[in-house]
Amino acid sequence: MKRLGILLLCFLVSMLAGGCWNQTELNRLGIVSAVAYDLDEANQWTVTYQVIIPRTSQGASGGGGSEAPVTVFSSKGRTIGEASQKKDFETPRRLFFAHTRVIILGRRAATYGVDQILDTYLRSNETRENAYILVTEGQGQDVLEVLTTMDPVPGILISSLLSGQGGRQSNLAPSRLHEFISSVTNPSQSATLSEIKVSGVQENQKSLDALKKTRSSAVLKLSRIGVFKQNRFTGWLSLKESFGIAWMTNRMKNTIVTFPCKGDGADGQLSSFFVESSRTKLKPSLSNGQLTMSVEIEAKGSLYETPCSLDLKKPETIKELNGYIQQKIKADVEQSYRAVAGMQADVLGFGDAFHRKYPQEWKQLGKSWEQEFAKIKLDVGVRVAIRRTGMINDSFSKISASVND
Amino acid sequence: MYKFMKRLAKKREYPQQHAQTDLLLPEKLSASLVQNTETIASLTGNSSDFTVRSFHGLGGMTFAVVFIDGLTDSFIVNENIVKPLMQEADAAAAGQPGGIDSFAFVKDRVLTVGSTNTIHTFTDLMSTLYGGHTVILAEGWQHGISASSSKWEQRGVEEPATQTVIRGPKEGFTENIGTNVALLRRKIKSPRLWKIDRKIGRITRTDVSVMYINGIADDTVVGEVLERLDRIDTDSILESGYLEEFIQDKTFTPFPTMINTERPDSVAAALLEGQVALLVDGTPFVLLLPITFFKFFIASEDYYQRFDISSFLRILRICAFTISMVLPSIYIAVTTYHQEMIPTTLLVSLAAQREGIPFPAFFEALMMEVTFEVLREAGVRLPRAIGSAISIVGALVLGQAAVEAGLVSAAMVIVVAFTAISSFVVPAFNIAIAARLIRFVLMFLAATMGFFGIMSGLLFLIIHMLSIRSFGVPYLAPVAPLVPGNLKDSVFRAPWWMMITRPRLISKKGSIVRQKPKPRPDRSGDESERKT
Repeated sequence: MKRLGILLLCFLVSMLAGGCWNQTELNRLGIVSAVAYDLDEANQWTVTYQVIIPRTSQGASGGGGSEAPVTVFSSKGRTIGEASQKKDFETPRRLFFAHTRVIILGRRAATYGVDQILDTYLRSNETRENAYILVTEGQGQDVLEVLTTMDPVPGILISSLLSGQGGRQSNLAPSRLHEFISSVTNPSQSATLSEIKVSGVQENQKSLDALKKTRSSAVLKLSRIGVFKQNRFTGWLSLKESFGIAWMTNRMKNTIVTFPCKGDGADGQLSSFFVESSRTKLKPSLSNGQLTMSVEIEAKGSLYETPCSLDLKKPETIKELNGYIQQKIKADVEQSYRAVAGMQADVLGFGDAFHRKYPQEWKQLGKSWEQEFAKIKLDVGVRVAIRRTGMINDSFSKISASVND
Repeated sequence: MYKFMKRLAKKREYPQQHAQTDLLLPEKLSASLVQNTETIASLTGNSSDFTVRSFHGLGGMTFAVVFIDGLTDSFIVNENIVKPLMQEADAAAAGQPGGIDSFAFVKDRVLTVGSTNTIHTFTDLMSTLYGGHTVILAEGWQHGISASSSKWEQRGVEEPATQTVIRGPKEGFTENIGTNVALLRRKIKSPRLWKIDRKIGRITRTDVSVMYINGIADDTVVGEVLERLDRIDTDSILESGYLEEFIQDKTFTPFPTMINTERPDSVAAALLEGQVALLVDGTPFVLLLPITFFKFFIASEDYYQRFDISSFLRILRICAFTISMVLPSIYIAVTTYHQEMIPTTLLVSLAAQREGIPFPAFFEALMMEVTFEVLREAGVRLPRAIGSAISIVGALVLGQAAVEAGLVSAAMVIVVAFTAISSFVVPAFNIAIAARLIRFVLMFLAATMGFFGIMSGLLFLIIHMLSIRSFGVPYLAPVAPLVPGNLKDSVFRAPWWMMITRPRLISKKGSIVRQKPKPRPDRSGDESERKT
């Protein structure tokens, strides 16, 4: 029984001497939904935090409506650590980063290099590697100040914009932090990030009054694709140019392909093809020093819309349309390649493909891969199958024409 | 604490010797009737319910009938004992040739009652009196005759209040041990259902019966039970709970090592599994032993319903038991240490509820739990008429007002309420009480060390449970040690036809319920009929 007493004593001492470890009550916690990193002209870091105010971001439990659902504040410093230390002068709550969904890089910080930011992120035990990372043209903090309507917390809105749309819009760059990190650390590959931009007048969307209108004066939008070379931002790919990247990297899940239904140059009437599933194979080849990449794309889907008068019951018509779609996809892919080749940034993973197939030759190729990449001959083969035409067969214009006859 | 308890136990030895002098009785009955009646009067301190009726009867002899008012049927005493002795005995004796032995004559020819016994000592006399018998003494007899005439007020067989079922027998044990044994005899009509009686309690002389099925129950367990019963040295046993504390394997544990039940069908099923039942006079609660931890989650209804729903319900009960133990501590740990584990939207909504709550989560939970325990205890003790009033106050105070006053968060009310409801799911009430106690310890651990604390607490608990034995059977038996054959009736219940062997650790070795495979309709006959 003495043993029991000693055990009990040990138990109590370890309980009480340990104190309450790192206990934090929920109402002492500032839940950070998004962080933005900016670098000013004097190379000072500005770290901006978007902190959720639980009381007001909850519609049901009252309060909401009179106060903003989030509060945004920034702190400056020569290093990120210095900046984040200064934030404690400002906030009474312990900032909690485990729920940070979104990291936004200002253009200048991205051009300077992301090493320092990624270093702090990987070092901290509270942050998550599955947060989304985005780049913006101007200041990152401007993005965080915009109030949003569909979700009261802008950080959550941005993350659901990426996770929700990711399934449908394949022309976005992979934006998870760990994906970004793994492509930044790949010497032959260049990383890409989606752009988030404030479309409209940002000033007007900072007050809660802006939420009372049906049409917001400024909204957060996903837009172009930012290309990184190693750890530095180098340039933008437009939405049009980014389209082919998803095809080439085999990330295309669902998308709409717009194509002229009577071939190029014909009266400008455009139809849409909805891609339901697709598969891309990259086949690198090397002959006489000439690098050739053959890209084989297989896409299956359904006809989404057509204004042309088509007899879609005939297999020949479908075959013809398949051909137009193939041309369109091929053109998209080639355009994208030209754009990235111009930047000498291999965002397509071609380097890995060559490395795998020609490990011996890669020792030479790898040394000047950026130049070699730009000289690759692209050989695109597309096979498209329209599997369904939706709920009707013939186009509506044909049906209405036959009624008028 | 243990030493203190030991000291308490030692102190009890003083009144023991005193009690023994109280019970010193004159050994044998004497031939003098007056002396005998005086001895009875002095033994009972002239208690008025000890009735001594003297009269002249057979052959002008002086008789005395002694009985306890309230324990005897006055009709039997009047019609079958006093009347024959006073009026009819002389006529019957007249027909007898020669002189008669009055003692044998009265016993064999006069008393028209079910059973009679010869009484030699005052100890016998007293114990038969307490059994409701009437004792006939006469001037000149060296012995007395006891005649059965018991009848006392008792509760009828009713539906048990604590263990209700939807399907299954609705009868429950009563306070009378005779009735209880009869209920069991009616369920198991086999001479192998054996019953060993003991009288325990120096003053109360409480009847305790050990019942088991010979050949199914483990003989060593039966022996161990009897030995432990014989070792009990106390002056009173008023409920089976007394016995439980005297004979249980481990005192310092929140886990009970015996099951109590009010249901004859549960006891019958347990007996058939090789368990031993302990019946105590004066309480409807029968003790079953040895048991394992998983037996607490088995309701008798499980065997009357289909096996699939029974298995589902058992899993549900085990989950509810776990929830009733750990839910408040998990809530405390998650909201104060591991906020990263909550989905963002839920975290925001929890944080919104906690805004303006002045207390730490641990204190908040403790407050609510204590409030609930108070309400529960009040609900049990209150007169039934006020019960509904308390439940309204409880619901309003616990539920709405506390949240609106900003004392506790709404999520905490949900957690506490769900915990409370979960604790009632377990069929055995005494294990639910164990969960209640453990809950508070775990809450304290969660508040100081988060999940680490909860996990070390649960680990300690499992180690502790592994050390418990119930009459030699490991507490976590079919799982640890693993007895694959017994798993079919632990967390899951297999269909009846699959349960061929009895639980190995509890019953006698190699005990088999049935040997034939599943009975199937004779299909071959049908086919031949169809062909013709």
